[in-house]
Amino acid sequence: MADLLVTLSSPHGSLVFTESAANATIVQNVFNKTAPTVYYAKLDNTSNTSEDVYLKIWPDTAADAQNITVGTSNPIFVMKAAAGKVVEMYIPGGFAAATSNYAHVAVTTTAGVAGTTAPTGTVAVTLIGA
Amino acid sequence: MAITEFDNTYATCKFTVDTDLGSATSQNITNGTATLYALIVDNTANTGAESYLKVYDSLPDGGIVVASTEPDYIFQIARSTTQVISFPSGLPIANGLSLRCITSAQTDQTTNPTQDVVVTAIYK
Repeated sequence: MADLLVTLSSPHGSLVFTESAANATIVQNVFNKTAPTVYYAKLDNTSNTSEDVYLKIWPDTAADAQNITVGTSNPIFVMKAAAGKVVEMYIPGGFAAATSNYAHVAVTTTAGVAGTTAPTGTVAVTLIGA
Repeated sequence: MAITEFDNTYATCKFTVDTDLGSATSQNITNGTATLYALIVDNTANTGAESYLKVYDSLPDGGIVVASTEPDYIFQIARSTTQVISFPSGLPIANGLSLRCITSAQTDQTTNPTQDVVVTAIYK
């Protein structure tokens, strides 16, 4: 076994957010900063074989997402993972929230804007950003 | 819209290019089941507004209703930028890939971007 520790000189995304059991309750300010940029998203629905799920990201000027209502507010990013599947998405240019906006996340069982139902099984989310 | 297609038996993947994707749906461009590897969205001509790419993997009877069918994916594309959205492991498309581009993520939005948005889909 050979160990290796590398300090990346210029990482494209230095912030990693993970949620091991995402649901329809919004996770506030996932990158703990304003104007974050998302470079990578992974939606792991392998443990939830009964339904498709949708990762949604909303920007909001409030860190507590007080202006966001799941199922009503328009997300700037929606990503599907089919039942029992995992999807990885790479965005080299990054999806950026506007200046003074925080990024908030939830996972529901409905495509697009609508839907407030949480997945019945375990769904994991990983986001890498800056 | 003005769609061209690269579909060559010498190449592994195909791609389609829509030089003016708007609210009207480019429906089932993969002609059924496919694996999507990348979407390239050129919004550089729209210097004053974001555009929103809506992606569907469904073929409802009568086609996608632009004002009510919920998309499986929504991507906000910043003004004056080209965005590459890649799926190196491949994104399975079960029914057929359909695309629209409008000026808001709102479900009933049907407004075309002011200037042309060029969208390329690479799949096999």
